Amino acid sequence: MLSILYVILTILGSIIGFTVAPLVDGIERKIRAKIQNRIGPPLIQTWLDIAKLLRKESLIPRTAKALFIIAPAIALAMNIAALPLLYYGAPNVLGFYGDIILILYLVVGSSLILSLGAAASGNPYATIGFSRKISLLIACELVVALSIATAILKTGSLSLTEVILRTGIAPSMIIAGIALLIVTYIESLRLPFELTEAKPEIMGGIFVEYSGRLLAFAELSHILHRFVMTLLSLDILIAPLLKLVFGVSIMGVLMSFIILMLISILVLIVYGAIESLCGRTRIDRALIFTARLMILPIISLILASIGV
Amino acid sequence: MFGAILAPIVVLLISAVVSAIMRIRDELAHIPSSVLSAVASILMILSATYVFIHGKQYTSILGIKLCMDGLSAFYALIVGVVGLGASVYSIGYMKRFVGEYSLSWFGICYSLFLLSMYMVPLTTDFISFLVFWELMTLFSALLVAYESRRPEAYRAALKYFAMMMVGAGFIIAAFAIIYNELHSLEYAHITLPPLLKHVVFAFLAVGFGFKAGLAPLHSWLPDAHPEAPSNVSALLSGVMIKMAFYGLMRFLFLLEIDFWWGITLTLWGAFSAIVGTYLSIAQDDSKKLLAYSSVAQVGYIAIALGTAIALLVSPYSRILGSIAFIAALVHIFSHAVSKGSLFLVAGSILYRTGTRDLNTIGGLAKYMPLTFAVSLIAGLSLSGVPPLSGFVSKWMIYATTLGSRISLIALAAALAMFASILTAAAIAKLITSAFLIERSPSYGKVSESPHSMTLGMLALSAMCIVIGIYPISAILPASLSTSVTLAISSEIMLESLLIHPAVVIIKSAGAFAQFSSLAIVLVVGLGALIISMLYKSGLRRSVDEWLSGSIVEPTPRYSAVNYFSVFKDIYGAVYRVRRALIKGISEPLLVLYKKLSTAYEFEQRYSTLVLTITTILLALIIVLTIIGVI
Amino acid sequence: MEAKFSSIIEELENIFKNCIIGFKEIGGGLLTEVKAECLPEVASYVFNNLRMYYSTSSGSDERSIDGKFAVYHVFSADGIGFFVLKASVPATKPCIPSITSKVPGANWAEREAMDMFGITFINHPEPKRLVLPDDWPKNLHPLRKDFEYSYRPSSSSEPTISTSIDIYVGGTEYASTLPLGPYHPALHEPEYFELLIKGEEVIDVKYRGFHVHRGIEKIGESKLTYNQVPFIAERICGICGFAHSSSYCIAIERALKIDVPERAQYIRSLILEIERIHSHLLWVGVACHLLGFETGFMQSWRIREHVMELAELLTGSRKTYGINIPGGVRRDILEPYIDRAKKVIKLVEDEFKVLRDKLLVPEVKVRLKEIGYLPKEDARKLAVLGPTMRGSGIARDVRKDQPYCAYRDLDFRIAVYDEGDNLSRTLVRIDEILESINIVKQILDNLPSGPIRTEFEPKPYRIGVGAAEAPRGEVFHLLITGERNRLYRWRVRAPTYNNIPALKIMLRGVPLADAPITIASIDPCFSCTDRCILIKDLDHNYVKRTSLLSFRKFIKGD
Repeated sequence: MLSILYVILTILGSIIGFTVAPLVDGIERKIRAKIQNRIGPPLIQTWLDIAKLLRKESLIPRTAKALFIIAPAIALAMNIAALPLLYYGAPNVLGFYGDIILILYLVVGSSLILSLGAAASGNPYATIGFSRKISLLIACELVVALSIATAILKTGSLSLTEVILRTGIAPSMIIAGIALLIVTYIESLRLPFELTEAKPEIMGGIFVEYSGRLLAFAELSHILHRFVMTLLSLDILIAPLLKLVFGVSIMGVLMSFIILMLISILVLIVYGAIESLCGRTRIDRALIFTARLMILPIISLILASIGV
Repeated sequence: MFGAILAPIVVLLISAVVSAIMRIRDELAHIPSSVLSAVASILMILSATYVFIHGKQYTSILGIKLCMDGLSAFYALIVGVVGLGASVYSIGYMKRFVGEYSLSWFGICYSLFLLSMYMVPLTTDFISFLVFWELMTLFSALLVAYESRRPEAYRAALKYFAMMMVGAGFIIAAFAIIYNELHSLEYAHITLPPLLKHVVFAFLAVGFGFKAGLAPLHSWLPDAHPEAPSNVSALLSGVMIKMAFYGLMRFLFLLEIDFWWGITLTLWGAFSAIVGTYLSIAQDDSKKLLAYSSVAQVGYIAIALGTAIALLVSPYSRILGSIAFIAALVHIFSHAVSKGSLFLVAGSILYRTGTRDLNTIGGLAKYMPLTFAVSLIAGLSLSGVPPLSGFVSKWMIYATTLGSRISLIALAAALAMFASILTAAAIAKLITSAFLIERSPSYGKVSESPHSMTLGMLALSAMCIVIGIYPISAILPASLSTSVTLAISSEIMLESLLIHPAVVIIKSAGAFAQFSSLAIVLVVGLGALIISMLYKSGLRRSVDEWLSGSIVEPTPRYSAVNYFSVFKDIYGAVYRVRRALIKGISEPLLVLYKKLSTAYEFEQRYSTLVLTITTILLALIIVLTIIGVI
Repeated sequence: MEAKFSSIIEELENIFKNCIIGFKEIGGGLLTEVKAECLPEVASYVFNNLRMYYSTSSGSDERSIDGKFAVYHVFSADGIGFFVLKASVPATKPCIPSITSKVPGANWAEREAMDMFGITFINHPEPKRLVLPDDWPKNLHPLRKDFEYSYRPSSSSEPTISTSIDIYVGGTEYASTLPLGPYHPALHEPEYFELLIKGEEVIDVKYRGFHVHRGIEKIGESKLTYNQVPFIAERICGICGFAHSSSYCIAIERALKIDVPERAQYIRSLILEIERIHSHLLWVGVACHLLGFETGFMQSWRIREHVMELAELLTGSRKTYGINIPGGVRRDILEPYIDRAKKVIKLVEDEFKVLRDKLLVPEVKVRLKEIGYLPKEDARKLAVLGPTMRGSGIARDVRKDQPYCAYRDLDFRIAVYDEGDNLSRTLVRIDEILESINIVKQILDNLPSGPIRTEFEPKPYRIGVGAAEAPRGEVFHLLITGERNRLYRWRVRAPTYNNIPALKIMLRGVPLADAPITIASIDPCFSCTDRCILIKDLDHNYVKRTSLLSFRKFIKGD
């Protein structure tokens, strides 16, 4: 009975994640508009954009390789595949031993394949975006890998659900979660780290040649990637606490589910607000910032290894 | 049945003799040697299979006792698989050198190189191990120096040779200590006093570390691998450097293993993985990039082996330790096929465009689609993308290292995960700059590589897919060889593993459910397909790329040198460390090799001879040292 | 006027006794006619020894007057007036020594004269086409008097390739070219920069401009009367148009010695300052946009909206005010509007001060500081103007140096910063906004009463120079009056024309991410600078602008 609820919640969470992520983007846009004294688009604008783009023709550069066309679809599919592996307040029955690494693979892989597809367009702007994106991805992934290693070390499990259920409140996990939250912000390429698109510099960078349906997939994949990364870091940071407070009873998981979803939406909105107050940084400064961020997971790793 | 073991030896000796005779028709000399080597490779695979089925086989040749047990068979299998691909590839590839360099000489060296690699794991005593080990070094050095009129090739060979001599010195010293206690040249378990035990470990680790190319002892590798003909590079990188791990696996377990050996190897491996991948993304030379990537991948193997040692010490974690050991072997196999194919890809590019410089090639995907496909498969496999072989082996490494609950090992695992992304970046650089980015080529239009080369590459890359989808194909032999080395029944190990298509799960208490990564891959693939179908029905139009309305000559589009430039600056500590290391550690070696090379530059024509004489002299010194110790 | 120049005249007469043909007073300065062969020495003396600031040069087809081609080199003797060097050569052999090696800033102006008049400049370091498109026929020079303004030549079958693209400096191995423009989000008008990048660093830049030329000088010289020209002049630029029409009016008023009523002078100053506030606010927004700081962009443009309202209140138009006319202004400011204007300007000031404090935070400064460095000496050599010049520590401003309109009576200071980087150029503009708000307040408080316009009697062949400090720098107009109520020669020089060559220095070594903001830091206005040619396409038998398409085609060579 309970496990059916778990399955339902995981599937429900995935569906909500998929539909709400673009809506949250709409909320972000609305907030940004308010900060900038504008009226702003309606909340469903991002979905409207995607729907419109899906109906438009795609322009394929003559220099593009097949990878250019299939990359957005693969990236989108990878992000969708990552959704049901996450923890939505209830033990994830679809999870398995080692699913953390698979989630990381999917998340990183989707970024990688998207930028490879961009590079396959043959456009120099896209190639610069690609080079920047990979540089940033590597820098961020070092932090992510160390944070996840903390979680694994703390609990000795490679399963996300087990990690969450076994943790309790541990300083090392909190530090790792904070590091993840910050790095999520960087990795989701928000200002000031929106370097791979940087319209006034490289005209949209990795997205420069994408249009129509392909752009819709790429955008959607990008938005889902943000959601997955955010929820993953909240799973490490908040979910153990929720589990401790509410337990895994029916009401408990329902409450955890609702609160986790609300918090992740809230975090995305806060990210959007921060974004509107920032200017773009340079790739060198972004990398230095990310390199400095490494101190957090290293501390958490040390803490975890002494059992705190 | 001793014939199974001896058959490849006989065929390879025939191949060497035929190659020598073929000097009269030098332009065709590579064909018999390649074909015979391919046959010998198949025989190696067969004999290895025979041993896996029937167990240990003994034989002797010229009074040398040979034995093929599980571990030797595993190595014979790898030599066979990569050798087969490389030999088939040679038929086409060696045409490059017709009229320039002697193909008959290549045939001799190549056959004997394969032979020595096959022989090293078969030996049962220290002396014959050393002899074949040195022969392997000698023939590989001769092959590195194959393009003897190019000074770079010479220098690389000499540097390699000089460093291998130093490495061999360490190995000999370790053997001498063992012999001193054991009083027998045959391999046997031995208990040493603690201090001496650690010294032997250190000597073995350093000695074999030179061969494996573990950073910072790797500096020969990025010179030697690119300079060798590509088919040889595939063997060097795919097989030969892993012979070092054969040595470690064989000899360390003769002693009583120590927990801290494992930790040392693991951290050393993580260091090598990071340094190797960092240096790899900075390379603009396709084969150098791959060579540095090899430095990183042997780091992974060292991590797995170190974890195995650390875990095997405790009786409670013996099973996980043995799985780590399996992981090391599977990674050896997986890296052998994927790196082998990538070196062959680099060779094909070199064959068609005449350059290894990634700055000057580009847009080859449309001219060489099969080569592109191979590079994509092998590259993704190397980066650890499911459902390919690299995913299986890396997954097992992560699962065992992270599951070990030893913090230093977990740190190494985190660093290895990070290095895995760097690997992906390096491979992305290779693939994009060689195949994807448009450039008006100076070499005109090129065509797909010749059939034999394509066949060789495809065969190796197919192995990436086979191991990826049926991990059991690599895990079964690996577990058989592990069971021999560690004296743990392979059934027990296999029981603790759940081997699904495309994924291996290590059973652990409290896992909620087991899920195949193939299912995820299928979901992703199916999703992508559906989404693509959705796209297909959409409108599309072919246009010029958008260069903000201007026309730029495609010549200097985005050169490889520009990739990750800022990253290289910011995270440049590794590069600075490298410079310091070159100054500190490899400087004395460089002086040695420079002295050798200046001596050679006088008489380049006779240098092969001089090289041979040096080797014989050094071999004599080695033998004398051993006798002296005795 | 001649009295002010007396010491200079004396000095030149002593040194260049054999070179100087004569001195003549012109509207706004002094004209010194020299022998053609002496031109470089005299120019070098004026530029290097007398330390006059180079302004611009102009060719002129004076065959109908004296059968010669003339070249005018204009320098600014600060505080005195403009110093114009004239040399003329017979129409049969139009060769004049180039002064570019002595005065590097003259490079473009001489090349333009080469294109437009067919005057050959001897020893020019870079004698390539600048303004004319590649497919313009050789030996056809549009500003010559025998060239009908309505004439549309067919495109030449032998294009002159790579007209003004400079050659890269060394160190370019494996560097990649990256086009920035003609249609690029960082540029709001078509212009082509080709960046040569290595990794993320710009190592060099090529420039190709003049994609959009509207032939305004030709129209002004042929079709329009004196009173019509200001309206065309105002349309040279969409942002600093009033500075153009004012410069033109000032030049013609000086040439014809017209006394402009004081109230008109004040109204012109008022509108010029409002235009400056508007333009700088717009620039701040663009800069924020280029730095990815969208909120700053939106807020800055929101404040700019008030400035447009202010302009509408005072002139009836939000932009392109159209109130200038030789002899005064067309439209008076009504008393009730002044109070409302005061309120608006107060609002703008308050809001802008808030925005300024939000903008000048360390995160923004760090993106601007020490990027796009232009040394003071290079700035003077290339004769850059406006905030670009003042950001490099040169304290010049036409409003102080060559006072016009009401500026002699107004109290204001010049914003100067010495660092020469993007930050100092930004700070100059921010200071200037506040300074202009001050000036606007002063004018609104002290607007004199009286008439706003005088009538005048045109006289032919008088020379006049007029300059106004536009938001981007000195707008310069040189004109020679002609017969039939029309101009004989009208030369327009926008500040961006002098500032773009400096980009080659500023862009070297900047990170790619900072290239757009560095280009923007000179506040380039390409429409002021550019020109467009109409060409008859033989294949299609219709008249088209030489578009980028053909530029492309020629580069490709098919």
